[in-house]
Amino acid sequence: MIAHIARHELRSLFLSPLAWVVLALVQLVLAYIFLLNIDAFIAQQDEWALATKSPGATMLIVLKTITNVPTLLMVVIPLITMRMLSDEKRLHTSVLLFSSPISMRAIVLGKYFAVLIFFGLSWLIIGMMMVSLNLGTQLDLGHVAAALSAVFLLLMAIAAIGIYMSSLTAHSAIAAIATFALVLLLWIVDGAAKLNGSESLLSDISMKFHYQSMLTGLVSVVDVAYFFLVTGVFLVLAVHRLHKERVYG
Amino acid sequence: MLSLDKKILVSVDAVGKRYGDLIAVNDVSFYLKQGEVLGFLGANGAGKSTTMNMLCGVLAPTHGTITIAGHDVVKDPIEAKRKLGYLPEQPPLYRDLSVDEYLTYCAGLRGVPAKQRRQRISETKQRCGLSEVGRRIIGQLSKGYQQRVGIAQAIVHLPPLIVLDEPTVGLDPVQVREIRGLIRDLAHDHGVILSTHILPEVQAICDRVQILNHGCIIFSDDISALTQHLSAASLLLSVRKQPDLEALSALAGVVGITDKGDKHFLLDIDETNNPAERVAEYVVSNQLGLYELIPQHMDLEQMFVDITTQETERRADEMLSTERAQR
Repeated sequence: MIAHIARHELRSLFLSPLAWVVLALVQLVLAYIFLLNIDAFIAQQDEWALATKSPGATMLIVLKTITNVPTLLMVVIPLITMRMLSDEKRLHTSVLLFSSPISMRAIVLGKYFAVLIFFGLSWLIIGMMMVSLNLGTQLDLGHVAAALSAVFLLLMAIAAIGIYMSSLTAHSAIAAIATFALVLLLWIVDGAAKLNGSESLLSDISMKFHYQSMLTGLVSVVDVAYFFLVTGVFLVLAVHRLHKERVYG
Repeated sequence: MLSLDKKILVSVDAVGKRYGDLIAVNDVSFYLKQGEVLGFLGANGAGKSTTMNMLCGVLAPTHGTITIAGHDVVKDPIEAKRKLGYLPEQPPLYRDLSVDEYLTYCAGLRGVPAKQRRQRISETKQRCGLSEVGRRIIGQLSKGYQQRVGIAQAIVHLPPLIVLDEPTVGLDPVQVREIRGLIRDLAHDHGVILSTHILPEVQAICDRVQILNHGCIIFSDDISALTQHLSAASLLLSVRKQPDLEALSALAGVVGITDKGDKHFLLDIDETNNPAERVAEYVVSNQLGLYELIPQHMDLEQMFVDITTQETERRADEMLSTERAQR
C-alpha cells in the first residue's frame, strides 16, 4: 500500500512542471559549481604538483562541490514536500485517504518515499557527475562515497521535516517557509557553540556539524544516527498529526 | 421489499461529536440493513456531514460506537473501512489525473487486488456512464461527470456499504435523474446511506428517512409512514357567496373550519370519512357558486419545516423551564 501511494505521488509530481524545473535547476546549478571547481583545479594544478602534500582532485573538486549541496537542498526540498499533505487538506482529497482501509503510517511513508525517490534521482546524477572525474584522474572513492552518503542522509532528514510541516497546514507556502526556516536553524545552530569554543549540545543538534564531519571522510555511527533520528522523529510527528486531525477535525 | 432477517450492516449507537463547547452531533443512533436506502435529511449545518464523516472513519466520534459489518470503526478501522465506499460533500478528486488513472489509484487504496483492477474499473465506468471519458483529465470534465467519477470512486471495490453525501448537489435535472437511477440500482446489492437537503430526493429513492436537526435525530420512519404523514387532512373550499358556516360544520366528516378570508375556507376533515362529496352537494344545492374544492396535501417541505420548528420550540421551552427551575 505504501508503494501504491508512493507511485501515485511520483506520477503526480512528474505531471507538474514544478518537479521538472526543480530537477533541472539542481542539475544546472551543481554542474556550474562543479565546472568552476574543475577550472580552478586545472589552473592551480602546477602549483599543487610542486607541493609535497597536495589535497588532490577529491578534496578540491568533489568536496568543494558537495559543500554547496546543502544550500540547494534546503531551498528545493521544501518546494516539493510542501504540497504533499497540505494539498490533500486544501482540496479535500484527504477524505479519500482517511476513508480507505490504510493506516496513517502508510499515507505518510508513501508520500515520504515518493519524495525520497524523486530526490534520489537528483542524488544519483550528482553521484555520477562526481564519479565521472575518475575517468581523468584517480579519486579517493571511499571519501567520495562518504560525502555522497552525507548528501543522501541530509536529504532524508530535510524531506522528513518537509512532510511534517506539510501536515500542519493547508497552505503549502507556509509549509515550505517553515521547513526552510527550521532546516536553516538546525544548520546554523552550532554557530553559538563555536563562539563558546566548546562542543556542546548545540553542535550535537546541528545538521552542519554532522554533515561536515562526514565530509572529512569519516562515517561515524553518531552522524548517521543523527540523521536517522531526525528523519524518524519528524515522520512519527506527521503520523501523529494525521491522527489528531481525525479527532479534532 | 425489506425483510426482518436481513443482516444489519451498520449500527450507530449513541454517537456524538463535540468541538469544544459546540455540539455538532448529539447522541445519534440508527442502523442500516443490507439492500436498504437510508436518507438523511437536514438543513445545512444540521450535522449530516459530520455524521457521515464519523461513519466513514474520517472523523473520530467524541463518544459512542459505530460498527460496520461487525467491525468497530474506531478500534478496527482498517477492516471497517474495507466495507465502505464514501462520496463526501466535496468529491475527493485529483484534477490533474485522467479518470482511468484516478480510478486505478482509488481501487488500489480501497484494496482491490492489482489483477482485478482493470476489470473492476471498466465495470464501474460502465455503471456510472464514464466509459467514454476514461482518458479525459478530471479537471476538464463537467460538474455532472465529476460527480459520477466521485460515485465511481466510492463503488469501485463493491463495498457492502455506500455512503453518499449530497450526491446530486449542483447537477442539472437530467443528471439528477440519472444519478438517482444509479443510486436505486446500487441499492439492489449494497446498503446505501444518503444525505441531502432536497426533500423530493428522499421520496424518490429512500426506503427509510431520518431527519436531523441541531445534531439530533428528530424523525425516523419508513418512507411509507412519511407519505402517510403527508396525505390530505384538509380541504380548501372557495365559493362566490358567503355560506352558513354552522351548517357546513354540521356535515358528517367536517371537523373544523378556518376562514381564510375572501370566501376561502379551510375544512379540517376526518380522513376515514372524507366529506368532499357532501360539501360539494351542500354548496351546489345552496347555489353558493362553488369554484374550488381542493384536497390539501402537506408537502414534504411543509412537514420538514413543521417538524424542525416544533423541535426548536420544544427546545426553547425546555431551556426556559430549566432556567426557571434554576431560579
